Amino acid sequence: MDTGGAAVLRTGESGRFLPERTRRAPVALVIGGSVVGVLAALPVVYLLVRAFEAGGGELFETLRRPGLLVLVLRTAALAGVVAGASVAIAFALAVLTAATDLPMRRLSSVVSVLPLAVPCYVGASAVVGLSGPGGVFEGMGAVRGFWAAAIVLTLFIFPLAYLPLRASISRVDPRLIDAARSLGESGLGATLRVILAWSWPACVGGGVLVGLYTLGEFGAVTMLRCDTLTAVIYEQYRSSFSRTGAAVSSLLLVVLVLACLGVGGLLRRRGSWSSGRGSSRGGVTLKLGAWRWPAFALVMLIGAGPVLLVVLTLLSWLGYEGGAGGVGGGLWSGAATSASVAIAAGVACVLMTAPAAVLAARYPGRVSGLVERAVSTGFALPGIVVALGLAFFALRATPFAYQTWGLVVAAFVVLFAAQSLMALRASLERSPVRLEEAARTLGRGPVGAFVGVTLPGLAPGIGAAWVLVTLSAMKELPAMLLLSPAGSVSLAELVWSSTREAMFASAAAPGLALIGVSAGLVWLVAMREGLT
Amino acid sequence: MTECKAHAICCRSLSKSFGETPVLRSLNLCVDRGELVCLLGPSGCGKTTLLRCIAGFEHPGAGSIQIGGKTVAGAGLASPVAPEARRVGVVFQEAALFPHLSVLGNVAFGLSQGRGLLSRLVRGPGRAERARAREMLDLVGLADKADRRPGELSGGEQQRVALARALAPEPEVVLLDEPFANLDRSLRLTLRREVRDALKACGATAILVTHDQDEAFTMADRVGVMLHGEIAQIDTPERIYEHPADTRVASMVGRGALLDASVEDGGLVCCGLGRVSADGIGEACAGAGCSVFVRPEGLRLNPEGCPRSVAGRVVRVEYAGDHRLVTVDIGNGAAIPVKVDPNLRVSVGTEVGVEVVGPVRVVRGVKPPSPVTVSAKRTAEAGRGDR
Repeated sequence: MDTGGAAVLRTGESGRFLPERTRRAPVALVIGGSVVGVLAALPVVYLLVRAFEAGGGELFETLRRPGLLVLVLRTAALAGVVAGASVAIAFALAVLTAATDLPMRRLSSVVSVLPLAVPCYVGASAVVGLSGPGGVFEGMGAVRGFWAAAIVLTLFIFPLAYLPLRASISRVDPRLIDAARSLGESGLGATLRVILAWSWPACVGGGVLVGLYTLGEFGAVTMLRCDTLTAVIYEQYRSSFSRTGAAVSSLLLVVLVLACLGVGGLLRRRGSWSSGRGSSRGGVTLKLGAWRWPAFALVMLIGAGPVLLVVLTLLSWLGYEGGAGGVGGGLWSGAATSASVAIAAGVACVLMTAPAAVLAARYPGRVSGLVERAVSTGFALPGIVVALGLAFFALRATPFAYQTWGLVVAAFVVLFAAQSLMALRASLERSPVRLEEAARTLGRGPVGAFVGVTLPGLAPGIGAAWVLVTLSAMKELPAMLLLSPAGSVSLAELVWSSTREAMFASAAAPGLALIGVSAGLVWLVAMREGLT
Repeated sequence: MTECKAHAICCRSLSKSFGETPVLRSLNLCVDRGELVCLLGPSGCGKTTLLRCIAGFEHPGAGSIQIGGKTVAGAGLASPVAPEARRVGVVFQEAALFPHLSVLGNVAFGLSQGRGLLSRLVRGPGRAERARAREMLDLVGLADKADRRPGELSGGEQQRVALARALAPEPEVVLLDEPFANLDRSLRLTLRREVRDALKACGATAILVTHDQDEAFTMADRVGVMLHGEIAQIDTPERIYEHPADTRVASMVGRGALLDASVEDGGLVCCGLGRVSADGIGEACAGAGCSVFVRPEGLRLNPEGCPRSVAGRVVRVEYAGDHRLVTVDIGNGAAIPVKVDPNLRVSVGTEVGVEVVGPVRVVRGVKPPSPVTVSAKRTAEAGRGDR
């Protein structure tokens, strides 16, 4: 297919040789790479089919259901409140840890992402237990409802916004702060007028991330009795006569997801921020003066406080009846279930995204673009929506797969493929094509060159992708609830069902195990962000 | 200190160290209202640190700074006045424009201090602020680029916006930290003129820091030569050139020959160029040793063997368009630069005579300040590395 050396390689603007655009990807690679894209697109497509085949009348009836509008508004409001509050907290912590002379900045940075180590539903379980009968906060009345859910979610997921904000703020050019102060702006004013404006794209990006997460959150909101669309989808699906209703509610949730992305796009465009190049020398260091230690205490309180509260609560429950000893059997089988499914999901995800990653890194084009878009859609979708779409598809097309582990693994692949694809692609792009070409000139075929030269260098990337997916799958709740075969219970399900039935003691051990799993994830993330 | 009411800026006995390394050594500097002072010095002489102390980004270890008759740092103050309260405009080497604001927004940034923080944060510049910002953009000739983003401007335009931004709030003094260092030569020449014109049009007091002698001489009302953390001499460009205060200034500013000499009676000195009359002998007794200094244009090249000239051999010829600079070795390792007509062809190796026709000046010999001991310097650097 090569039409002479000059046509195969052309000099890019940067002066480097780039692969010729017209170089065709091998057909096998295109097919292999598309599989994960098709799988990722399947749930939404099938939900659409399921909702509309019921016919206009039934669809209309479902949409007119009393209370549905309130539900949609409540879901949107919760996402908005949690996103706003998270960005506010994350901005304050990011400024303190990345742009001031806060004591022990490295420790403070790690503590600022620590809340991610507590899955929201584990946090909610502890809060519900503490405010219930016999709990420490019993006198305060039950902690339930919208604001309880908003506070709990904010406290445990604001680090999703903190990470991009910290990265952005640490690149602010210190001269800009000097310039603002020489123009009469106070320290606080300069922080807000320069740093906030500079990191605005990161604020919006972080807010969207938190918003998407909140829209899909299931465990915490149901425990705290703040029913959102996810809770209703679950109920509708369980009461099997209302499956069209579940499909319609899921599509409404997808609409909210799109709205969230749309609002993000609008906010980001506002004022059309030009992307500054960022500072090459060290970042800003604002002097906190007498506020250094109080600020440090604040960071510790926000970052470590809720985590400590939850961990200590769960530990104290271990001692109760039905604690560590009582659910021993359930705990171990739950752990085995969670671990085996998650490990399988990790392997499946890496295997399925690998061709797509090679396609995206080596043959960027229309196919790879579509696959990447489909995969990132899967990441933005709530777990319950993906699970429902796959359940409908399996019931109709492959009934033998319904209620099998295969379907659960498929759902996890859709949900977490984006993480794996990003990790693989990044490590592929770091390994130079030049080496492969050298191997080709030494007599290796294309596959031989890839396996012999590129693959060994990918090991860390593959490892990272697998660990990311496996740990994320361990703590996943709604897809597991919907799709797992009858009779098997994962750790996440154990926490959820124990809390629902007010048997808090039996939520303690699986909750602690899940915190351990998530702590591993946090450690990975912190390492990648250079916080440790 | 009352005498300083007259000055826009007055620094007294300013000292500052980074770790063990002294950067400013008991420095004194007073700048009159409406005056443009250029601080000329090699890199590392402390000129940027001085500007940062005046702006309030660094705090001096000792001494005082007064801006507009008000003490902003030094004795009698509980803590130094914050940068935002000093009414000082700064133009940085890299323009440091706010990338998220338009050109107009950048210039208007410092004009909104009368409003509350929330209003400054969410609302753009008001009508009066926009008018003032446009006026400043007019002054620097960029009125037509008000709606552009900083990234869309050339380097020279960015610096002009930075100047307009610094001047807009009518600061007591404008500090310019090597503002033309990142620009190419031809742009630098035009920008020097434009910046001087803009500063003078506003009647602004300004301190400009540079290591470029041409820049300092063409722009300044007064030039301060800064060496090793102190101001060695501050005077008009002419006086600096013709009457360098000491050997350090003489060898830093312009070219010339610095020769050892001994004082004789009758206003004469004896040096490698023979027995010549010299200015500035002062009270020195006959027989005392001193240094004399003569500029290339104070010397004339004669054919070999001419009376009143000293014999030498041409070792280098540099052509500079409007003149030729001929370096003549007159023995004892003394290489004397002589400025000659560009049409005079001389080749290397020619035996010539050098005659003194211009002024010869006795300059004070000054040793560089006691250098920091090596061990102390190492500890200072090690300390910085840890941070």
